[in-house]
Amino acid sequence: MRRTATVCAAVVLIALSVFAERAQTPQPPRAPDAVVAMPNKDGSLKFAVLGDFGVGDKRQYDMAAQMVKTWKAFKFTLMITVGDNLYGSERPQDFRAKFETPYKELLDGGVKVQASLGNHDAREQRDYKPFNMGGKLFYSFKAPAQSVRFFALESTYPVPEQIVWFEKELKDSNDDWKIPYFHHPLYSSAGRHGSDASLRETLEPLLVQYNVSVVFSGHDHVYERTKPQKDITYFVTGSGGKLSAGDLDRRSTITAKGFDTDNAFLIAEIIGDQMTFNTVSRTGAIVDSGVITRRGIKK
Amino acid sequence: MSRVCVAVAVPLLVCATSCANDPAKDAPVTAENKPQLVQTPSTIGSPEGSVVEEFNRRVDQYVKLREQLDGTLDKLSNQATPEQIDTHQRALLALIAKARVDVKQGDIFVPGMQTFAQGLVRRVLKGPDGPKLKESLMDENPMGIKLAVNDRYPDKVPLATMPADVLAALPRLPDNLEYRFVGNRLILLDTRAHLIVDFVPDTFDL
Repeated sequence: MRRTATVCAAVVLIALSVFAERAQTPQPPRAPDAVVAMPNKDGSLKFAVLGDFGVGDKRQYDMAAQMVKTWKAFKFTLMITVGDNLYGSERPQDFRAKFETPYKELLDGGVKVQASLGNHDAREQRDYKPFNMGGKLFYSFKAPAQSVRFFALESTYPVPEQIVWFEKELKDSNDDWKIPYFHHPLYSSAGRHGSDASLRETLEPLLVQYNVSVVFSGHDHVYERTKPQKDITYFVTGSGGKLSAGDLDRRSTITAKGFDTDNAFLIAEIIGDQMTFNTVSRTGAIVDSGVITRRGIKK
Repeated sequence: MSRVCVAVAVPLLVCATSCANDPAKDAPVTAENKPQLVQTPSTIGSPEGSVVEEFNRRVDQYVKLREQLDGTLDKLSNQATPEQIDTHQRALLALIAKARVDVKQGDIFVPGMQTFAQGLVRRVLKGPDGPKLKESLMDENPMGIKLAVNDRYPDKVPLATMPADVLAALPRLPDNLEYRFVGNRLILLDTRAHLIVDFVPDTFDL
């Protein structure tokens, strides 16, 4: 009897120690059974955000496969890119290997890409049909659903004319949601590049003044969602193909959520005044999610 | 004249760049404290009028040549395929390079413009935010790249981000021409032909 009790106690102790060890060891994000839940309602605006992806390697292709898997469950019709659409050479075969082939199923399925350019992108991409830039380096467009206008900026070359144009576009827009996206992050906790203070000085006053609620950028090869900065949430979605593993500063006070151990892209859905988002890793794990209510709602 | 420009430009640059570290920037932005979007050429210092005129004249000459040669090629649609973009770009580059076979470095960036550009970049980079700006400018900007007028912009060299203050102080360029940095050289890039039109060497110390 005493021997049985001793064995039982030992088993319990071992189980407890294993449990304690697991609790202390960072576990990889759990792959969910369903890729997305979100509201996923008819009539909403469903879109994806991808950045720093055009590498043409296995990692990018894995990510693209995951995007397709996600799209099958959550039919986003729009994909905005925050730049570095193609790394290295941009020969015709590069457009195929680094863009057309990996995202073929999305493109064939009617997903419309609206690109912005990064520092690795040749200016000629503005004429590339699938990027839908209409020959312009910066442009805006009305979303296919809901009261949303997107503004694609060219942040590597912030000429005064672009800033004047941007302010006018913001001012003239009557849309509830005004969503700018561009390559260089105004806020980033990554070590590789970090926040672009100079660009922030130029753009932030406009974003604040014209009730922008969310901004998407890339450049740093990580995922980060900031705590609201002057009421604006900034997303860094620069791990669409490239990855700077471990690059996020864990001590940063601006991070609401960061993910830098694998690649990620973001999907979002806007219904009325709310934007729901999920950030999905290369393995299909949801590494961040939330709901953002837009600024400037009349009370 | 240039001394006056420097005297005006330096304090403005110091102010413009130091504001980035000012804790007051976290205060709510109002119409009163809204920062200037960018410094205007007249406040940051500018080269002698005749130098700018000469530079602009040569730029215009280049653009006319480029447009004339571009007109001999099939028009590139803004709904182009990669093949069409690549073919057009290389064909245009070949035509321009052939037409400018005798052009050498400094033919567009005339000496006065070179001196101005070198001084401007050095001043901006000597400001309080200079190290950060330089870091951003040199980010993924490789050294040791050989450059020559009429060369194709190197395919594997990312485009360096241009500081807004530098852009605002340089003469405005027509569409499809951009200022960029390759290493510490300020280049004039034809984005249509992917061609280096001219460049200024040694705009800052490495």
